[in-house]
Amino acid sequence: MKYYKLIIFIFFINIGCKDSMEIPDTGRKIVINGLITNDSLINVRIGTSSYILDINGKTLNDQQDLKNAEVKIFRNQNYTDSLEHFLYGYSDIYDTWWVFVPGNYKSRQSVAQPGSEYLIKVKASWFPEATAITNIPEIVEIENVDTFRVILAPGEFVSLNTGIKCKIRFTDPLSVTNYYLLTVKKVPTVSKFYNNIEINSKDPIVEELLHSRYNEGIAFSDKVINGQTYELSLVIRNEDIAKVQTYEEDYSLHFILYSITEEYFKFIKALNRYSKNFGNPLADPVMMFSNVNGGFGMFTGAAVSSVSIKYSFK
Amino acid sequence: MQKFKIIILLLHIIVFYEANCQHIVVSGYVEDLNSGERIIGAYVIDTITNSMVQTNDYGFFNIKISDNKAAIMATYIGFRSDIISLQSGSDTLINIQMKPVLELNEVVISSSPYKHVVSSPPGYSVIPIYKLASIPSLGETDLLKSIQYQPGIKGGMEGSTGVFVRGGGPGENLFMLDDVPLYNVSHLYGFFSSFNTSSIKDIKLIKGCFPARYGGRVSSIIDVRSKDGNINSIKGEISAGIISSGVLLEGPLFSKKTTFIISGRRSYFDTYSEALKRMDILGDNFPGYYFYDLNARIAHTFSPKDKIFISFYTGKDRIMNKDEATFEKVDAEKYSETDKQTSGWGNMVGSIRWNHTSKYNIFINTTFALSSYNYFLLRDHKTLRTDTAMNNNEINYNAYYGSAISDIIMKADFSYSLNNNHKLFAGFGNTFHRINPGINKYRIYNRDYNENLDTIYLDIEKSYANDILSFSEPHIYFEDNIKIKNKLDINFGIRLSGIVLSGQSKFRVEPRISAVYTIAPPFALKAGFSRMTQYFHLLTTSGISSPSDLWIPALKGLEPLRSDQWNAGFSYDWADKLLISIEFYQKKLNYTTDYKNGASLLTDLIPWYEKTTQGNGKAKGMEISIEKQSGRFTGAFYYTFAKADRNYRDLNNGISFPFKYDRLHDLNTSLNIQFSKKVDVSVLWTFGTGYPVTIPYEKYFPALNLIDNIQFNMIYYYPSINNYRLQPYHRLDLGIHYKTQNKLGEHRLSLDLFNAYNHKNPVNMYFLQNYSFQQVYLLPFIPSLTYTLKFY
Repeated sequence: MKYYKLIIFIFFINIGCKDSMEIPDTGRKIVINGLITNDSLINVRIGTSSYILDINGKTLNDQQDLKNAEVKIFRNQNYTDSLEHFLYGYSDIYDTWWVFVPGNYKSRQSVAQPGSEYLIKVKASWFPEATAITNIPEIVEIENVDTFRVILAPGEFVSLNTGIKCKIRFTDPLSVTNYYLLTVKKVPTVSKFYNNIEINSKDPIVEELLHSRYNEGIAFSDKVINGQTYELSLVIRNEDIAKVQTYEEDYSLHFILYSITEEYFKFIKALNRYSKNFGNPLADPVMMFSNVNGGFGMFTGAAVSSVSIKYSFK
Repeated sequence: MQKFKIIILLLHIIVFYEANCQHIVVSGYVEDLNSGERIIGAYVIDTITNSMVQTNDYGFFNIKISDNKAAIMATYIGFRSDIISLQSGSDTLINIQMKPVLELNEVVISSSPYKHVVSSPPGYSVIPIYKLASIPSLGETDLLKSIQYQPGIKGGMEGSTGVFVRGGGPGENLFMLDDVPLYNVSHLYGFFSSFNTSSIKDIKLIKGCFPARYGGRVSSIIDVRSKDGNINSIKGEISAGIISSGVLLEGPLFSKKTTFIISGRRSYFDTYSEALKRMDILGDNFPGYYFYDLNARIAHTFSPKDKIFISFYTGKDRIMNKDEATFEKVDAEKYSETDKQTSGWGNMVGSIRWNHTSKYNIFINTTFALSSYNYFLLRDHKTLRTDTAMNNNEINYNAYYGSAISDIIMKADFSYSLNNNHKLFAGFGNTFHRINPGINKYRIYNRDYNENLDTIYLDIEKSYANDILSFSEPHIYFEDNIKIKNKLDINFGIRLSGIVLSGQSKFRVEPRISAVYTIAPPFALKAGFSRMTQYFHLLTTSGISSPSDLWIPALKGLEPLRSDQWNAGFSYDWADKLLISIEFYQKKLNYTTDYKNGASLLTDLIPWYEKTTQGNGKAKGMEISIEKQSGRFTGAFYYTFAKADRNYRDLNNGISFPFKYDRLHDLNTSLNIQFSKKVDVSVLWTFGTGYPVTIPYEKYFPALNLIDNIQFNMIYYYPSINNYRLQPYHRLDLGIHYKTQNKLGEHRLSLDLFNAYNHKNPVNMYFLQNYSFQQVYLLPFIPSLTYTLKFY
């Protein structure tokens, strides 16, 4: 229905000819993407922006990646580490050694510490220096996870189905404003090739539902549950977690609660809106949120708490 | 009722005091001799004392003469009256009849046509109705499009009826039809206005220095008055254009005391599309669309002091789409799918007004009105699967979205002339609002049936609704208009308004003042200040006036919108030939409301007050107006130099950005040449700086999923909101009008050439897959022909 206005325009008026336009070229900038957590070595991806009309910017391998950048990490204003560029490494997602696209920088020893402030400084050839600061929030533990089977109502998912209702209990710290991201992963017991599971939730505290091939989860803040112990409700589809073939290995469900920063929360919201409006010619464009000075992207921290449940759903 | 009594008491005290001054009052109405229509804004002059007053919105005047003699006449552009000599020892009631002098050989204007206009308050314009037909148009004469040519006013997207006044938003204009506000004043997504020009008597546009009697919106007042109906004989008008056709009938009903006017208009897009579908030029699923509007009014004069008006207006738009598909295999199942979508919107207004002149010559207008606006979007989706054994499975999906607003309006307005140089206005009223800021409902219905069985195994109905709010918006005002030594004309007043809902009530005081100082008869200096408060915000998602734009109240944490506007300028009557005006304004808007970054009406199922953010706006500018309103050559030159921006904490990183319709230079020039009694030609050229749009300068890979650091699609980096200017806009419109008369009546044929030199004016830009930006142009050269018959 949203395209009716366009249809009417075309019917009534006809869209006229179009001319190409000159767009100002304001130079390139460094892009930093990185989430540093208390459960893994510091790892970021460094890239560059492209001129909007530049055809060469269309794939990750095509863009001018920074293989020789100077990437320094400071913890609580003290120099801690320099990250190294690597093309080969162990992929948690694919559970194997992997050739990465250029631009991966990783620490050999540093793991982010909750409660600390981290600064990243990236210098490279002719690009302006890019910096970003983030804090690692304190861990908020998942205290309990309850699951039970339900018949999903229309609207909870597109198709009618049976599903698993999950209740995740945690206690929000009283003294600070907290932001959270919760994801569910389906992890095989032998191999580690995990899938992100689509989650739906009508819980009143949920502010953002992330639904895409690459990003599943729910984001919320503690604005109505500050300092309380809370049971968050969500549902997942049975077909997403059930075994398709009997010879498949068993799986476990990993419920992961990320205690995230305010800027990461804003980034999630902006990215979600960007995706919803993308391709809608009548919607106003969404300004992407970035916390990188002198560049683009998001350098942020999270404290991770997780609970695993083994299951053998059919 | 208590307020009513207090105002009456105060006025009577003043009247009693004034009665001791031994004035004789001559009051009455100024009328058009041919139709009996009362003329708004006519000047009534006592030629002996040179005292002058102006008729009010109902054509009523009240002039005081200091001895028993008076020689009264009335003047108005395009009309003249004879001088009426009076000799009376007591108050007298007269009706002055004016004769139109529009005919070419009757243009005999002894004094300057601008004599009185020079001293009108800043920001105040009257749009001559008789001029509307001579403005080149796109298909048909449109009131709102003619307003767009005024200085300080932007039209929004090309071809639309948008009105953006002095940096204000689309929801900041009070459109009043016979004292009753309308919420949506356009058809076809803003391309045509809801006002049928053939039934309109007067249009007043106020964009600054608002008198205290007006309120409820912060940027402009567009006060439209309908005709009462011809008092002498039955007359009518039939018009046919490329967009719609209309009919009007007016005349006396039973006697000259009662008149009626009824007019209607309907578009025929649906007729076109049905014909094109039958010819297989359009697909069956192409949407059908129509709009119509209907105005009806009865006016009855009980006595020279009492008149009642009953008015009704309704306007509707409908768009329908039906999509059907059937798939059938031999010896296999049959599958059919039907999808119907309908949306509609419309206003309905009914009002009763009573004009009464008390024995103390207090003019009282009492209004009771009902006004409503609603929008809906309906979808019916049905699938039917029939297997080879004739077992049927039917799934129905029905979805509905609707929003509505309805008002009950009660108000009383009083005016009284202390003397010819001192006039008082007062009034109070209340509007009871009931607003539904959006409801979503859906139903899924699943059924299996065959010859022997009918099983419903799923029937789920759900709804998501914003709370329906009922609240009231009361107001009370007092206004004083005083002229000192025929040099200084001061209008000052105060308005107290509010929004009342249990626990959330808010009241605001709105001071207003304006002054016009006439240095010499042809030259006047003007200045003023006005504060306006608006208790409704209009949420829009795009540049197009959309019926789904949502009106929301200043409740649930939202503050009322407020504007403070300062004005200064001068007017000069140059040798009785040209009226030259220059005005400066500065406007500050507080608590403008918009969607948060990327939020929109349907995509987020959260309450409206969580989708919105409030900010501020600033606008300033200079408007130059040069008009020639009489003679064979008439025309206007309007230039505006203006700047408008917005600032929201939650948008654009808290940095100010240009308003969507910010235009630094805006020029409109028009010329009308009356070649003969029958033929006239109009030329209109318009030029403006390109509107700002938001476009990306760079792109980069974000981490779509920071946890797994997945980067897949590039996103665009928009440096700021409205960071790029479209190319300048310019367009030439031509109109040739031929008028003749015969036994049937007056025939008028208009040939209009819109965008005569076919300039490609950009309305937007978008980014293509081939890595280039392109500008979108909407309206090329469009000729149109309109025929109108006025019969008597």
